[in-house]
Amino acid sequence: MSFISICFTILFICSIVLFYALPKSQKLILLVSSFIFIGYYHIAFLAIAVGIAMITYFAGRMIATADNDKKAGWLLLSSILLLVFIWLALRHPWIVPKSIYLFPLGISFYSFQALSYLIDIYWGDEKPERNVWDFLIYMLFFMKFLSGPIERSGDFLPQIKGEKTFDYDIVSFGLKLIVIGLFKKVVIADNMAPYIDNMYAGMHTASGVQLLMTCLLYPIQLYTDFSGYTDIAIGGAAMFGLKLAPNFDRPFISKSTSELWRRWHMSLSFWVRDYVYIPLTSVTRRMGLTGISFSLIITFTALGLWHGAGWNFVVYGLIQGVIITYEMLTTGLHKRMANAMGQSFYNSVFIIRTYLLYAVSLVFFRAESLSDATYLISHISLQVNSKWNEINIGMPDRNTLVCSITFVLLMVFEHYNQDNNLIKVISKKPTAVRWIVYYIIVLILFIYGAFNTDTFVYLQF
Amino acid sequence: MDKLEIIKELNVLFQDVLKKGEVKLAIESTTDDVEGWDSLTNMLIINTIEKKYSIKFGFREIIKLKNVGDLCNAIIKKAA
Amino acid sequence: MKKNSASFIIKCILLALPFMIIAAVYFMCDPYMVLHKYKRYDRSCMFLNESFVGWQTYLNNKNSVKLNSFMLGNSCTMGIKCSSWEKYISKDSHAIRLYGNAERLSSVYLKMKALDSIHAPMKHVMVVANISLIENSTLTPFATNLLPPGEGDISETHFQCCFLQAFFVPSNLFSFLDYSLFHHYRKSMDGIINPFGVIRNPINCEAINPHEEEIAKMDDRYWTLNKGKFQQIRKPSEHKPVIGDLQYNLLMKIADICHKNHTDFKFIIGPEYDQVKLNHKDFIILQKVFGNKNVYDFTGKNCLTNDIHNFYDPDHFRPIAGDYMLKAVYGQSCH
Repeated sequence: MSFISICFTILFICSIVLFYALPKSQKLILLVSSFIFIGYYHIAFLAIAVGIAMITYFAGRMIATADNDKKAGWLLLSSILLLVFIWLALRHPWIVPKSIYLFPLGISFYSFQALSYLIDIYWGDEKPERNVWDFLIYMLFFMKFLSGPIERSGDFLPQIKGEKTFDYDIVSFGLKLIVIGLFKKVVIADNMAPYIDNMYAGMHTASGVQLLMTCLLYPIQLYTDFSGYTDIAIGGAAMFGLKLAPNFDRPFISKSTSELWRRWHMSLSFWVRDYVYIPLTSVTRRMGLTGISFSLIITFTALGLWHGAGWNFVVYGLIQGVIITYEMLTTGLHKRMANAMGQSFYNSVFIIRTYLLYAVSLVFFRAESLSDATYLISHISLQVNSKWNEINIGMPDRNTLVCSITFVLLMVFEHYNQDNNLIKVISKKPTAVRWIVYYIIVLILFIYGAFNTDTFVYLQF
Repeated sequence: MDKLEIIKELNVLFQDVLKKGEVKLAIESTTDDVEGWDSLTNMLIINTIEKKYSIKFGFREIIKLKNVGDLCNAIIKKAA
Repeated sequence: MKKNSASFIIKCILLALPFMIIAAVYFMCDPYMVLHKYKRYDRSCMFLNESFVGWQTYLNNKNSVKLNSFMLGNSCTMGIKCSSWEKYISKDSHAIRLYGNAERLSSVYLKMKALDSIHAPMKHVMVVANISLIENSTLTPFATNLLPPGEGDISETHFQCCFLQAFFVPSNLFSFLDYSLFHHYRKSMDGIINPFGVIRNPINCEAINPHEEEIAKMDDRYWTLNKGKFQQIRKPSEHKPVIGDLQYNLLMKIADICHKNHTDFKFIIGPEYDQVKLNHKDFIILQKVFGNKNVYDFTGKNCLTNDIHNFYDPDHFRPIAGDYMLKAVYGQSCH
């Protein structure tokens, strides 16, 4: 069930109430809620998820208790191959026709979680979890099941050991974060989505300016959609007293693509850094910068492929790898440019440049195929005397105004939130002020929210 | 070799690899404390250290290094 | 207040209270007439979702009246009377107008798909379109333009939630409360409150346009008073092509349904006062898809668009123009 649905709201409210009303049964409640959440889509999804969780659980114990390092290594390798095979087979079933195939939701996320768990055990960073129920909660916790964040066992498992008592500040913080996430998703992302989707579906008849605006606007839609989901996940988990890893940290202020990937989909990018890039660079370190460049390109191509099997995803990943390699090789040049231009001007120019490069790369991410992506990019026009209804890609003026204003407000909020935790600041204000702010936000949500879709973009991965 | 000596040498090494004018490392310094020291440059630094001290780190040893203090300990252990 | 779970719950309820009250008013009054099924939809103080009203009217009357002829399109369909159309089609045909405000080509297709899915006898279908209907293929998200479950792919829950949400919009909410309490129409209620009473036939949804009464009383003064709407709107030219892959696919799907049901199909592009002509490439595509004899283009400079008396406003032609068009389309005298 989607986060934005009446069914989920009922499940969530019931879970939260029971969680604090029956403190001795907290783990059972989390597990049952997760089972209901996953099984609601399809019972097979639950079976697959539980199956993968149990394989991981037992593999972890076997690796930790292996007689020697070599045996542990073989066990790890077999487990990785098995998990990757299952993931690939279910992600890209070559035999079953696409029209009747139900792709198991969340599999890319919890499979990677499983891999990180096993690798951490092998490296000696973590001990295997002995309690199977705790482990199942780690793997299947419904607030992060669908699209992450990809949690590390060392961060999450200790949290579910103790009994959670109702902490007013944390629970209310969680609720506020959920509202912020909803705001991003339904007020910004979903008001833009139908028009951007329309442009991608009908790109061969769209004008050059429309294609340009589609390219420029899609990162905003994707960010508000995915970070909105993440905020709901993190806020919801917080209401259960559980802390999830952040997934976004103001990516649009990045001055380089390497910085962008430290701020965008952080749980995935840190995962590929720790489990793909660092091992690769360790092997290729004697090759110096060539080795690092090679590792970067392989890592990001793998990151692209994680999203899908098409060549467009390969190119998406490859673009990131090539740009980051270039940035690494030209660090000195950029320092000199910053000195020459002045740091502020340099920052402004490179924030825009990073955004534009990422927007172009996302065309490969979003398009149905490589040919569609190359068509779109090659037909972009900078003809600035176009009509307004070309520039706004058919979005009604109301949607354009709502999205523009709320996105700017969001950026301002995130900027000041970095140093000041605005949610806490508002919590300290007088009751009247707080409640006016709450009512305004909820009213905007009600009035301007586009509740016409209940899916998130990253649900497809 | 003691840690302070190694840190002095590492300062020069870091300056060289990161192309920085001045680097001042401490025992507790991590990648968060040194500008330019990140996952992109970490292995370059490791490789340069290995060449300088004629040592070789295993992969598991590398990932266990959390700060400059751990790095110094590892160098002392390997070089001994 | 002490910070514990009880105070948290109380605060949540207090925060939600105004919204719960508004929701209660909505559920009690059903202003958009979507919560319950009604026999007639012609008595509402709010402007309703016409797609929903049309569909429900069809379901209510399809057996008693044997409705088998469908007029689809946007509000331009107000210019062609079902009763006039029936004179030109087979004698046992009974027409209904299933239109939508700001209708899109995708909505036209979905309505035909819905009719096909319930095995509705589709003896005659006439689409009354304008260039904007053909061009826009995304379904409109606004509550008053949504296709209901049955016609569109939306679920019942979603459909209902959209109207509940629309009721929370201050302009809708306050207009409804103001009019319900004081029964006094204000300019600010334009497009939200229906001050005209009955605006469609309860059986076939034929338009009962209040402007006709105005014109009957005022004659030429109607256009003199409204000249501001008509001034400087004329720009006789050819529109850029609007039929792309999306539109073409939708048109082909419509044609497939007609073919399957052996439907006598007409596609009419109605006249607009601005005299902008449908692109000739689009016309050729429409003819290729539906057949040369089934596509009629009344856009551009012609005797209909030259005469202001054929229009209520620049976008909507009157039934006198509609009658002329029917004669031209069917090329025969009515029975």
